[in-house]
Amino acid sequence: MSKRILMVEDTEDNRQIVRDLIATTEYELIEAADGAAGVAAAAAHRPDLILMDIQLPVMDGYEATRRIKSDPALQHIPIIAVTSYALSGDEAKALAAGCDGYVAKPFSPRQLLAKVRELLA
Amino acid sequence: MIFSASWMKPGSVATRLISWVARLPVRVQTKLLIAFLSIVGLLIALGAVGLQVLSGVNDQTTELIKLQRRIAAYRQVQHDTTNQLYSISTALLLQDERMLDAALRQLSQFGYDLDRMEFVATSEAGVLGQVRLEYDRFTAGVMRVAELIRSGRTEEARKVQLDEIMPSADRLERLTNQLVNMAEADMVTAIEVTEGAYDTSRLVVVSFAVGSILLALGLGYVISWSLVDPVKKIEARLRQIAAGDFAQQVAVGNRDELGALADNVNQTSAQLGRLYREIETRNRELTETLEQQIATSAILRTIAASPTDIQPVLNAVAESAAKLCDAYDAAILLKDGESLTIRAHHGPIPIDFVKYPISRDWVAGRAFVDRKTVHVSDLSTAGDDFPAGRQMAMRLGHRTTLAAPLLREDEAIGSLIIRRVEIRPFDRKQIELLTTFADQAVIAIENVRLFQEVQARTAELARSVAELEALGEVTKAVNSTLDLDTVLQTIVAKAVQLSDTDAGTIFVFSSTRQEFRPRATYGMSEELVAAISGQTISLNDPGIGDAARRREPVQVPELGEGTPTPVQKIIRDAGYRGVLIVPLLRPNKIVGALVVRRRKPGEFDQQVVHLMETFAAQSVLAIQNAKLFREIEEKGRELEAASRHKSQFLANMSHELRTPLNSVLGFTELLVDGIYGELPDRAKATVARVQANGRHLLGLINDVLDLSKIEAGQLTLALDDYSLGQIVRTAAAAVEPLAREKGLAFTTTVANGLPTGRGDERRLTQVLLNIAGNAIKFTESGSVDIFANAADGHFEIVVRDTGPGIAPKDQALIFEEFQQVDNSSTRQKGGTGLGLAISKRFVEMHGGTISVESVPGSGATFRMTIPIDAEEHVQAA
Repeated sequence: MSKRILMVEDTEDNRQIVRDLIATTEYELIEAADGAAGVAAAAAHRPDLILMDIQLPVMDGYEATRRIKSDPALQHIPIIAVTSYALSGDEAKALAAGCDGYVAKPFSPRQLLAKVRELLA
Repeated sequence: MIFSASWMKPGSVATRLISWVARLPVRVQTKLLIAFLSIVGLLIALGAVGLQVLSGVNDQTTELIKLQRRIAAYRQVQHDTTNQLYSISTALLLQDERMLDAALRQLSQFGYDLDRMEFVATSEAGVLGQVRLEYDRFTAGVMRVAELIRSGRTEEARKVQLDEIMPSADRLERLTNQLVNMAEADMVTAIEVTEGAYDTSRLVVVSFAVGSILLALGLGYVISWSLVDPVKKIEARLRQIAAGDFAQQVAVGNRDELGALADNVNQTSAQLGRLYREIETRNRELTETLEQQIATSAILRTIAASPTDIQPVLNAVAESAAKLCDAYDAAILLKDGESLTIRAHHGPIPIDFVKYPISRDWVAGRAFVDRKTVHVSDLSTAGDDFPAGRQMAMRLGHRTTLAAPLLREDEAIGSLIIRRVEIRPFDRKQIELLTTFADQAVIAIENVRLFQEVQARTAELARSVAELEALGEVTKAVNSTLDLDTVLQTIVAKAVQLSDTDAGTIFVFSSTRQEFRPRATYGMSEELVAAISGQTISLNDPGIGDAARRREPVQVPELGEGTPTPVQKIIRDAGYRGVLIVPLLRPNKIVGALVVRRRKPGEFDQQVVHLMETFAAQSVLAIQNAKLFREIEEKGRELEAASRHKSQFLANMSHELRTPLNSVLGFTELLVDGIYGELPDRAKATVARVQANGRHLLGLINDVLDLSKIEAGQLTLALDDYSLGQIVRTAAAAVEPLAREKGLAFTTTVANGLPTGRGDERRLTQVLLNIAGNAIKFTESGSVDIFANAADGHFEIVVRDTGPGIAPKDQALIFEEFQQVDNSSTRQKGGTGLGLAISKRFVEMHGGTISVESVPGSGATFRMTIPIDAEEHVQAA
């Protein structure tokens, strides 16, 4: 069974890029457009990896990450923060919320994929 | 030591002898040696004479023995004759052959004895010849007798014997007796001679012995006297010297060591005498000087002890002058208008006036007028020369008078006079001494004057110092605290203290309300402050308003005269009488007023007014400062808010720009990667340009953010251990593909064994990337080389390219923001124009430097030095 990746991202363009990128791979992509939906999707689909935007409607990425990480059933799922918060301290903040990796926007799809492969390997 | 001679005094001959010996120019031991040798010579002569005498005695004795032997020989011959006679006789009688043989044998014995006799008595040759002759006759006779007997012719023999032999024997006997007698006479003579020689020799020996003794005694006597006499003389002289008599000389004729000693003693004595005289002179001088010094120091002590009172000094000078100048009295007179007034007097001669008009008619007056010492040996005979002085002398009884002027910078201020009741002029020394005392009196008078002047000056200085200190405190308050109330409190307090007033107020003028309000007070009760605060003081106020309008201090010496304003009434009711108002002014502006008040009425000193003006100026400054500070504080707060807004804006802008940029760059990469299928070539090129521009935009955003953060002081280094080699490898790996693409030779040279550095690895990598990237970017052909090294605690990183180079005028500019040599190149080469500026900031944050060397057309060399162990150097934003 192919591995599943949950993408929590509110911008359609960004979702499209990742969707087009993952389509070239063996992975399955699940999408959520806000933090709360992301937490729900994580619980429902138990993905193998989560790509988490930080600035999200309803519930921001930090909060969503904390929730997922506080759920014993989900906390093992690696989460990569994919965010436009690229100022100094933002990476530390993401890692403090529980993220396992950090990719600043704008990201190179090629490099993002490399990171995903690394974590799913 | 007392040398005493045990011998009696020598006589006149001996004296001459002694003096002759003393004058002999030889040394004493030579004299003694000569004397000794003389005595020894005499003793040797004595021994020789003795020996001579002994030898004579011995000869005499030998002679005597010889004589005895002669006598014995003669006797033997006599005996032999007798024996012969007897034997012949016997033979005749007995006619015995044996007897006859015996008689003949005796005859040979007789011949032998005769020979011996001749041998011992050669001197008696004549007699001996006769003896020999007789003997021969005798022998012949005997022989004949013997023959006759043998032939039996006895009678005949007898006859021969009687006729021939017997007479011959008698003659022989006679002859021998004669010899014996002669020998005995010789013997007597010899014995007599021997006795005479003995007596003579005894006399000679005794004479020599006595002579030796006398010579020894004489020489000893003479020589010792020749020594003893000068020694006694020298000893006596030394005793005189010891007793202090240096005038005498030792008269010694000796030309030996004693003579030299006497000369030395004489020289020493003369020397000592001279020294003694010198010492006595010096001593006398010293004694006199000492006395003067004691007097002088007594006077100086008095001067020192009474810096404000002149009288004790004048008394001391008068007393010392009288004593040391050997005068009966001394007096000091000082100028007092047109007279000289007696200020000090010491001594029994009376003075019957207190002051006397200045004139040349009396001694002290003339000394004053002429400014010269005046000496009169007898005033009573001075006649018309000193009419007034003569009258005084007749009246008071003094005669010899000496006066010296007291001169201060050639100006006479008085006279010092000494007097004697008899006519006995003062000597040169005493006149000099009096001048000295006059000088000392002047010094004392000057001293008192200067002391009083210094005291006045010191008081003035103390006041100035207090004012300066107060001003200093005020200035310090103005500068150290920005709290206006504190500063104004300080100013008003110091103003009151220094103006010697009782209370003060600083009013501040409000230009909007056009009135003065009290802002700081000192020495006032709360009620009084409240009462004044309740009053409206406008520019029309006759006190404060008037001073401010006229822009000059106003003082009210006595409150209550005229019409007091309401404020002045309150003040007056509170017990104040005098008021001084100094306006606080700026050009074309009224700031306020400083008011001081005191309880006693009276004018304020001009000095106080000036001082208050200074305080007023300080107050203006303080009020001005406070206003400026308030403004600055507001500006600061505004700036802070602006800065906060800017940071927030940057954060937002960063986020907002990144979101669309992510779509641009993401989709273009997917397009380039062919996710959406192969693109036509033209589309591919276009998409690549979109991608490049998107990346450039991202670079700009990142650089702007970095720079903003650096400038805001928000960017800090993450200090950690790093490897320079790793940094070079990382940067090289990133830029190497670009170099390869452009066909450039690209090398990196990292020294072996570089130490581990401490710094922000990410930022240093960013710097090297930027510089190496630039080098590759601007170099069209040739090479780009990176060298990394370490020396003196620093890393040195050099990036050398063979690009177009940088003109000298641009070399400093390239490290500033948005500067590229040619703005057009920004577009051609990409890059934001911020890279070098950011790199420079990062290097400097590490405490390092970055520089460039370049000749246009010959490439450029960028050189960075970075401390191996860097601590963060915070830059002032």
